[in-house]
Amino acid sequence: MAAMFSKGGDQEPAEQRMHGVAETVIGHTVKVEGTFTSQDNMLIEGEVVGTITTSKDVTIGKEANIKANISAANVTVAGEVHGNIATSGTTKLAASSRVYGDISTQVISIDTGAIMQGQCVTGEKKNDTGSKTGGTKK
Amino acid sequence: MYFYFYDKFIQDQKYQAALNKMETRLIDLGINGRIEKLSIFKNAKELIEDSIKHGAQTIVAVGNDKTFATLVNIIAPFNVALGFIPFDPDSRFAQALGMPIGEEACSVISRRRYTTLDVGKIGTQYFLGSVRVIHNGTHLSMRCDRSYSIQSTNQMNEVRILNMGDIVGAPELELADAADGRLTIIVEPLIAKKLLPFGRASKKRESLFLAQHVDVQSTGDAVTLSVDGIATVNTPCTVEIIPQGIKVIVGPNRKLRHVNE
Repeated sequence: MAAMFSKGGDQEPAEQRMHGVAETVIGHTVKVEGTFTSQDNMLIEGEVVGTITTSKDVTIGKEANIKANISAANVTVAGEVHGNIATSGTTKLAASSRVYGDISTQVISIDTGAIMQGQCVTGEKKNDTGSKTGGTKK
Repeated sequence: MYFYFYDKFIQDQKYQAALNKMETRLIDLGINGRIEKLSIFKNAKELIEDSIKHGAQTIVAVGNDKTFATLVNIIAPFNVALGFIPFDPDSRFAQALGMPIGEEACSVISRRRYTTLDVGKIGTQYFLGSVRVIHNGTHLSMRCDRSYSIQSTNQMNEVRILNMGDIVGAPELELADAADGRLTIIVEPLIAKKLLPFGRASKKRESLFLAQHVDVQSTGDAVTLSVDGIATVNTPCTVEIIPQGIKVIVGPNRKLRHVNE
């Protein structure tokens, strides 16, 4: 499966291809609409409209165009997202990323040049009595 | 009780010696049973249903990949096991299942190593390998698990829906997980050969989805789908997975990967 995601357009060995590790790939030439729920890692390079939910990781490629709310364990963004992002782990915004929506995450990493327009909440959430500290609202 | 189903081509004179050796070996191993030979007077479905009625618990296809695929479609609704004695050295199902060619497969049959695999169903047709769209899938729309839809965006796309893998008629053997309870949907963009130097087509990154239920429609004219190379179905149609739907005899050198192992 790793060979499938090697640098664009590499050929698999001619005699056999194996789809082993579960992973969803939305390539450049497809558009997905609706409620997309998965238990697998996801790699998105095409268009998605709707909702994306997975218990694993989402990677958004440079040319991806997403109009959806995303919920995942970890999210890495290099493309364009119109929607909210919620992760239980880490959200990484690459230099080419453009996020128009709110981000709620444990850890955030933002590269120089990334565009983000919305609210961002990181770290542990406060309870009603305010006994837990941490969390940075930006 | 074993039931051996001989395809039409295997009854040709050039296979007679090999068949005789195979039948002798079956007797030596104590797994000989009823033999039926397909002909213009005998319908495969009636032969096999009759044998199941008479107590056959293991049906063995003797022939090539099309023979095997034909029997998958017939026996999938029944609770019997399926074996394969391939007589085609290029048989892809044989590679996937680890079945040696000809007489040597008899030993594997006698060891009775079973594995349970998912079965795909499109309309009323059952399949083990895959469903392929004939011609490009530009006008195809697929609704997966009744919750999201997939559409091509103005490109020549090749669409395949895999259960065990793309086996019959595929340019190369392409295997998917055969027991994960899901279909693997592949949308592969193709660039026309004439646009590229040296006349070779280039393949860019394909899209890959996993789903249990796929409603396939065409936004233009009806599109034809090929089912393991033995049948065709037109859109609109539904492709779904039947988890653990068939019991198959496998050999030790099988290439298929599935969660039961």
